[in-house]
Amino acid sequence: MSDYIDKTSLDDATLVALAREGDRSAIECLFVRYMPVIEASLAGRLPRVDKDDLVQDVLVGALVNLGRLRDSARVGPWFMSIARHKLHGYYKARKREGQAKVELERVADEELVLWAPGPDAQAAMNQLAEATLAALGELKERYRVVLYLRLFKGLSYSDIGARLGVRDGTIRIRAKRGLQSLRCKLVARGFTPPEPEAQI
Amino acid sequence: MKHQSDLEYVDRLLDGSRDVSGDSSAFWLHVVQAARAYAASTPDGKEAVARALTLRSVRHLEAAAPWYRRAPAPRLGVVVVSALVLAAGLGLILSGPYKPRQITNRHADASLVARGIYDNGRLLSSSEQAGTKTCSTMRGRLTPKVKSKGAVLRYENPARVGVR
Repeated sequence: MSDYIDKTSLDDATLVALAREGDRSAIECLFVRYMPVIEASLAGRLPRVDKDDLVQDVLVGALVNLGRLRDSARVGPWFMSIARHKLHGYYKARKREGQAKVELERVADEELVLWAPGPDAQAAMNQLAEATLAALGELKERYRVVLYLRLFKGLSYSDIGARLGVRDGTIRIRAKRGLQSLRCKLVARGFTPPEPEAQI
Repeated sequence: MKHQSDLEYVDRLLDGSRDVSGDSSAFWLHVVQAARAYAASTPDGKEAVARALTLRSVRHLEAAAPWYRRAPAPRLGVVVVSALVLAAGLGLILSGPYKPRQITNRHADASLVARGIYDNGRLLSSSEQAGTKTCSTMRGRLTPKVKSKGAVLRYENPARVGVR
């Protein structure tokens, strides 16, 4: 475990090099570091029950194909491409089974989120989170990933930029445009925030 | 009131700034709170990583050590040699000592040969025995019988030919 703690400070290229030599703690460190990126890539795109399995598939796929990673400095986009590929496979499998539409509609058509003060506040908050995820799932991937990492994981723009291999300014622009779209989608879903005095 | 964009509201909310006001701040306040609460209630991913490294991928890890090495594709030489060995074996079976032995007149029941019923591994049809030609319809009727008897004769002990 001390091995693992030491390696969290290493950069991606070093971790990838160690991982390619079979260093298990380096693989683990790499996976933990990019887990939020994988989750962000899949956010709102599939039912929650299937998400964990797909995340695991992405990790296994990354593990098997780590030898094929060309640019060690672009691990984040590489994980995202694996997630995209696995998600595509998931859709195809669902389509074959004739249930893709049903499942995805269930995600998209969550109950409308309304502000509910008092004991129902927690339930309303959960619904709002689910609705936010569903709305994120309708955004383009470049907006979805940035907003998920920002809103759900609380990462700074520089952290997001480092993980995605994109400049901070670009991330900020994506966040701005993404938030505008997200607001429209949440309003369309029926979310109306309470008056300023009501929330206190 | 100074106009603030959604991005500024969210940044101030996430940074914990108290200088947040306006309708939009209420909107994003709830979204951010909900998102953070949701993220806090879900696993951080370490469990999934451990699971991926231990359960489903253990085979991959074993196969990958020291790192992933794809099994080499069969080379052309191996394929050609395999095909030649198979062909030679098949030819040996069909043409060599493993070919089903034909029972000649020498090893067949002498009385059958003498009576013209049996001739070099073949049981003669009644028309052949009589020295007449078999018309097509007759041959069609007789052939299965002759064939079945011939098959029996070819694999049976020569001493028992004629018993059936």
